[in-house]
Amino acid sequence: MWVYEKRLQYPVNITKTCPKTAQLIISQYGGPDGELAASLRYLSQRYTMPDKRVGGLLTDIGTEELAHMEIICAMVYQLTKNLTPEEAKTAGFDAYYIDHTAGIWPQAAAGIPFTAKEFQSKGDAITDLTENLAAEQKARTVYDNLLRVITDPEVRDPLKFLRAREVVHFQRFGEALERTKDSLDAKNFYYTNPEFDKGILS
Amino acid sequence: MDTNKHLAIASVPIQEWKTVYDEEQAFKAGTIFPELNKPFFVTATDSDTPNAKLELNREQTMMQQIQQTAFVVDDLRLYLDTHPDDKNALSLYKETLKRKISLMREFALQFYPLAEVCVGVIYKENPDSDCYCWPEGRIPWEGVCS
Repeated sequence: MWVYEKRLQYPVNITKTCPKTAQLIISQYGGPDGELAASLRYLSQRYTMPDKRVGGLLTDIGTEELAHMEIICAMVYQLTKNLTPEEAKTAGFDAYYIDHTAGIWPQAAAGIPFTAKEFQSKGDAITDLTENLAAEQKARTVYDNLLRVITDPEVRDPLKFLRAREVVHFQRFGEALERTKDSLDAKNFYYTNPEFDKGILS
Repeated sequence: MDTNKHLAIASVPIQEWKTVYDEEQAFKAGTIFPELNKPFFVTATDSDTPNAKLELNREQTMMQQIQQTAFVVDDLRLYLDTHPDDKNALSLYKETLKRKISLMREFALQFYPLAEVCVGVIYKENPDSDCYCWPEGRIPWEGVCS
């Protein structure tokens, strides 16, 4: 069950139409390290987590990622909502425009459609939490790259907020991994799969 | 709990509770924790103050307050997920959550409901209301510049 709050987690107030910027930012909606993949990754992994507190963390971070997806979509929307046909043709947005007009659709910056192949749910707590550490770092790098090429402060401001959240989430997944390790045999963390071999976790 | 000595597995130190940012600073930094605030170098030199000074009306000012307060709740929730016994965090969480709820209640009565429980607040205050109030108010993704 989810409950919607009719507000963004962080405000987006963009005044200048810029389809080129929209075309880059959309990667954090449907790209390989985007917020949609992040959310589905954590919300998929949580069911079989052996430690229920780690499952709870995955629910809460997966939910926050949905709010981040909404922020990214709001940015793409505001960057393209007053798009003229001429801008659609010339500003590097023509291919997207042909397929989606100014509708919001999950794809990577390079035009590759969103796919579940961008993330894993491996059914092993150590493996999944290690994937999540990497996922937060990959998303941070994308935000670093976006901040390097985008100059409009109205666009940079929410990007900086979203980037900061990747760092915090990395720390929390690290703590979740430590918690999971605490309940395993430190002589060999890999002796069993804590998610599959039930009753092993103390 | 020294698990950081093991080979062939990732290790991250467990964060300890220290002084946290106030709500406004936390919102700007994207975290309430100064020790997790690690900005990208390119952004360290520019001012990044968006759209000069937006003139906010009362509704927008209150929305900003809700966003800031609610964000502190969001960041504390994740901290508590991995530090359920931290008394400092819990006490700040309780206090901030209470403030968030009271701000949302006030916002519903003065402007429009942000969640269905806030529609309930409106009906509790005006039992004879014939307003289906949920669709009222700003569309979140429109921004204040529209």
